[in-house]
Order: sequence, then C-alpha cells, then structure tokens
Amino acid sequence: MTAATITVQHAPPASRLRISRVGLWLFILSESMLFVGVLATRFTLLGTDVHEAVSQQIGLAITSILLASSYTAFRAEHAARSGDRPGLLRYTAMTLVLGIVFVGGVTLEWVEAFHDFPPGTIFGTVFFTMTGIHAFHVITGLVFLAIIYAGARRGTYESDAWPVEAGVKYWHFVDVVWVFFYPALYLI
Amino acid sequence: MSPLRKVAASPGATAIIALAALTAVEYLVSIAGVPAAFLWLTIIAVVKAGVIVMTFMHLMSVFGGEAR
Repeated sequence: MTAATITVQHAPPASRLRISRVGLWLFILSESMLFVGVLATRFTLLGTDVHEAVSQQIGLAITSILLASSYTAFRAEHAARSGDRPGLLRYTAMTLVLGIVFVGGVTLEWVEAFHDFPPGTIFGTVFFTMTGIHAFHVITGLVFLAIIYAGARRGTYESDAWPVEAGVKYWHFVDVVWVFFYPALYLI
Repeated sequence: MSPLRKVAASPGATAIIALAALTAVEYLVSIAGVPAAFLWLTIIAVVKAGVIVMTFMHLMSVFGGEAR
C-alpha cells in the first residue's frame, strides 16, 4: 500500500469524493486521446468525404436513442442523490434498454455496411474501427450500468451514490464521443 | 413527483430538448447542403458536447461546485 493510498483512505468523505471525481475525469481525458486519434485518422484518410451508402436514417435514429439514454442516466443519478430507489431502478433500466437498442442499431448498420463498404476499403476500415471501438465502450458502459442496477436492487447506494455517479459519467462520456462520431461518419 | 423534484430535474429536461434541437439542425444542415457544412457541424458538435459535459456530467463539481 503506497503513501498516496493511505492518504486517500484517511481523507474526509468530501475530500475522498473530490479525489475520486478528479481521478474519473483524468481517466475520461486519457480515453479521449484514443477517440481523438481515431477521429484524426478518419479525416486524414478520407478528408470530408462520406460514403453515400451510409444509412442516414439509422444514424439519426441511433444518435437520438443514445442522447435519450443520457437523459435517463442523468435522471438515474438524480434519483440516487435524492434517495429515490424506485426512480434509480426505473431510470437505470430505461438507460440499459436504450443502450441495448443502440447496440442493436449499430449491429443492423454493420450488416448493411459489410455489403456496401467492406472492411477492406478505406471507408469501411474507418467506419468499422470507429463504430467498433465506440460500441465496445457502450457495451462496457452497459455492464457498468447492469452492476449499478443489481446494486440498487440490494439498496447498496443509499448511503453512497458515488458508484452511480461514476457509472453515469462514463455513460455520458460515451455519448459525448458519439456526438463527434455521428457527423464524422454520417453527415460531413 | 413533488414540485421541488420537478424543478430539480428541469436542467436535464432543458438539456435534452436542446440536444434534440441541435441534432435536428445538424441533420438538416447536412441534407440541405449548406455551404461550409463542415464548419457548422463542428460548431454544433462542440456545443452539444458542452451541454452534456456541463449539465449531465457536472464538470464544475470537480472545481468545487456542487453537482445538481
């Protein structure tokens, strides 16, 4: 156990929460580097071109679903802070369902994409890399949310809502990434 | 839901409405072939990310502000 770990464990609760928040933001910042790199690669290889076969309808639909899931995640976090356990369960479940629908939409897009722009093509490589890395993060977020849901059923977060805040923040981060990926893949 | 809770939840509702409107605008900018679409879409994406980071992710709570 390092001196820094001992210091954090003995810090007052408010300080521990602040240290945890800073740590999470640093993690998010480091994750952002990956996505910025992928986004830079997309513009380096393709300029501002978008493949005409990309489905605008699916793109808009899954974007709307992911944005809606950010709202339900926000409400879940708000419910956790307010000690509203039924609200936490309800909104976490809604976020999970919306996230699963998003992954389903990406899967549907992939099925079409394999015919229209296979992974061997430049656009296909960029498209599958960007959507694949992002979908992996969405699935990771879904696992995190499922753990939160299970914990909320047991009443784990009634005294400490930090795990809910952390999971929901990660989910919002995945949403922020898609905010930049959506125009880069579908609109520009 | 009590009136107090409704007020407390309203920042999230405002943010999701703003995000939906901005998404509709960026879709229209794309299909309408607006000149300098790349610039407009970049600006809209930055604004949308800002709304999520400030409202949903409580960025200011890191700097001492309390998350709502």
